[in-house]
This record gives sequence, C-alpha cells and structure tokens, in this order.
Amino acid sequence: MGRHVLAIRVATLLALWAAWEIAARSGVFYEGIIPSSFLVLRSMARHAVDPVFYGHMARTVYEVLVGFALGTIVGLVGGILLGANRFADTAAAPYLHGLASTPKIVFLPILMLLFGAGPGSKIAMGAFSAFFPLVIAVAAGMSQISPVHIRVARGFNASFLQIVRTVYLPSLVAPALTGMRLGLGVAIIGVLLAEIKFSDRGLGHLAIQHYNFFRVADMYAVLLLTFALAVLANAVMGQAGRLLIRRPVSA
Amino acid sequence: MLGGAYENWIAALFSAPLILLYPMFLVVFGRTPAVCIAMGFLVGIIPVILKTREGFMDVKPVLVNVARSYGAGDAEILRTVLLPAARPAIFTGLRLCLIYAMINVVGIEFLANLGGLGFLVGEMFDRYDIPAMYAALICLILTSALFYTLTGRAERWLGGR
Repeated sequence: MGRHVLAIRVATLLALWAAWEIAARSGVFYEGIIPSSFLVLRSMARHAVDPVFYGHMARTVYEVLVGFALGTIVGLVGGILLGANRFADTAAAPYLHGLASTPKIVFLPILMLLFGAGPGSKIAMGAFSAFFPLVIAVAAGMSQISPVHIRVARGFNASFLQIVRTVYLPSLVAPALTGMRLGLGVAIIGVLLAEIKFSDRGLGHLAIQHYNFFRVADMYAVLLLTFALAVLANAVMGQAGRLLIRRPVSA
Repeated sequence: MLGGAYENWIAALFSAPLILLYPMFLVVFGRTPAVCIAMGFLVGIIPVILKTREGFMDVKPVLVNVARSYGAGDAEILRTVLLPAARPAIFTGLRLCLIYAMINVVGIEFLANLGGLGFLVGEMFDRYDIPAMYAALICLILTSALFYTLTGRAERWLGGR
C-alpha cells in the first residue's frame, strides 16, 4: 500500500513536470507565460542565495505572524465570551457570519486609512482575516461542551475565570486548532494581497514586481517559494496541534 | 488508494495562497471575467473535495452494510446512504468553497481592476470618495451574507425531505 501510494505520487509529479515542459517548449502558449522549468529552478536557486529576497521574506513572515497572533488572541477571547452567553451569541451570529464570508481584502482601504501604508495595515489585514474563522469555530466549540461539566464546575463554586481555565480551554483545543489553521491560511492570503496592492516590501510585492517587469520565471520562483513557506507553516501548525491533542492540557 | 496518494497534496494546496497565481491567469485568459471564474473554481473546488471525502470516510460501515444486505446497488447506496450521511460535511465544504471563492474573486477584482464590486471599492478609494467606498463595501457584505444565507437555506431544504 505505502509503496503504491509513493509510486502514484512519483508518477503524478513526473507527468505534471513533463506536461509543463512540453507546454513550455511546444510554443502553443506565448513564450513568456510558461517558462521552462529549468529557468524557474535556476531563478529559485538565485533567490535562495539573495539577501534581498530574505528581506522581503522577513517582512512577510513578520506581518503574518503578528497579524495571526493578534487575530488569534482576540478571536479566542471573543469566541469564549460569545459561547458563554447564548443571548449574545444569537444576537451576533448573523453579523459574524455575514462578515466572515465577506472577502476581507475590501477592507484594506479602511485599514490603510487607519494604520498607514506600511506594515501596520498588513498586520491589521492578517489579524482581521484570522479573527473570523477562529471566533466562529470557538463559539461553535463552546456549544458542544457538555453542560454537565460546566454545572459540576459551578457546583464546586468555580469562578468564571476558573471555569475558562479548567473546562472551556481544555475542551476547546480541537475546534480552536481547526479555526487557527483556517485563520492562518486566510491571514497569509490577506497579507500577500495587501502587499500586492500597495507595499514596498514583502513576498507579494516581490512577485508582482517581477510580473510588472515581465520576469515570468522569477515570478514563478517567488510564487513557488511562497507556497512552500505557506505549506510549511500549515504543517507546523498541524504538528503542534497533534502534540496538544495527544497530551490534553492538565488543569 | 488514490485518496491516500493525493489527500496530503490537496490539503497542502488548500493552505497555499493560490491567488498569487492570478497574474498567470491574467496572461492566459486576458483581462476578462474568465480570470475570476477560473480562479474561484480552482480555490473553491479544493475544500469541497477534502470535506466530501472526509464526510464519505466517516459514514458508518454498518449503514452501508445494511443497505447492501437489503440488495441496494452502488448508485442506490450513494443516493440513500452516503450522500445524506455526508451532507453536513459536504455543506461545510461548500461554505468554505463560497468563502474562498469570494475572497479570490473580489481580491482579483480589487487588484487587477477587472470590474465588479471589489473593483468599485478600490476605485472609490483611489478617488478618495470615502462615502462611496463604504457604500460599495456594504453592498459587498450584503452580497456575501446573501450567498451565505442561501447555502444555509439549501442545506435545511435538503435535510427537510
């Protein structure tokens, strides 16, 4: 089974690569659209040793991390407060769900008015994007908690903060992690889009700069490196989540 | 087995900001709405695949076995057992699909000035017509809220039968 899976993967990879190469050399597409994979690889190698690239990368990583952390904290607190209060939850639900499905990028103009055109507005964009999936996941997770647990804690005269620490947080690990994974994804999208629209640094800015100067191979190289970074971040999150779930928080 | 081979890849694609590919789509399709449609399709299909698969995998084998012992064929099992049992998961996928498609379509409109509400918001901001920008924004929020409500309705309607 494992070997077959590997075989299928290798075969798919080779087929995709061959298709790309054939498309690049066939001349069906305009030469600039699909550059040969070797050009892209060479460009990736060049970026990997270029300190300028790391400057862009550091800016994007910084914006995503700070934005994601802010969004996560606010989302977690908001989700717990909403979940603990059925009335507030019902009242806020339509607004929350309506805003959650709205593409956050359109708020970028407002955020730029508020936080300026520098990294501030990108961080705000990331935080704003990461907030919604988390607050919804946590509020939904709160409603899944067995009321018995809460009643037992109340019976032992636990204060609200104690209930949060000993009942809510341990049972919220799984839904919060789901929300955080979604949140990280949309935070990355938000930050990159904001960088593309208006920025002087960052991976999004670098990619679009290459596009504007029609350095298509370079653009693909930056895109692939960015994808790799995003996939890596997601994998780290998943791994961290697995560790947390295996060893439940002992109170 | 195919699922085992591809699931991680699709999940990885889901976490990659695919919208960055939009310049490529722009070159392939030209400056037409087809760019938005293709991009929305590409990012929207991923959560649907992932969640539908998840939903099918979580169907209790007992249910399938009972249906089979009553002589149900594959198509019948799909229609009467698998699809209803996986409905919540499928709709979670659809909802994610909607959100991601909206993000990408509006994002591209906003970035590439292709027209549409996303473009309108950006255009009004560029003209510094802030009240008009807020108006366009509110229209956009209402649009996405409407889509969201419709999926919820559809789910309830399907479940009510």
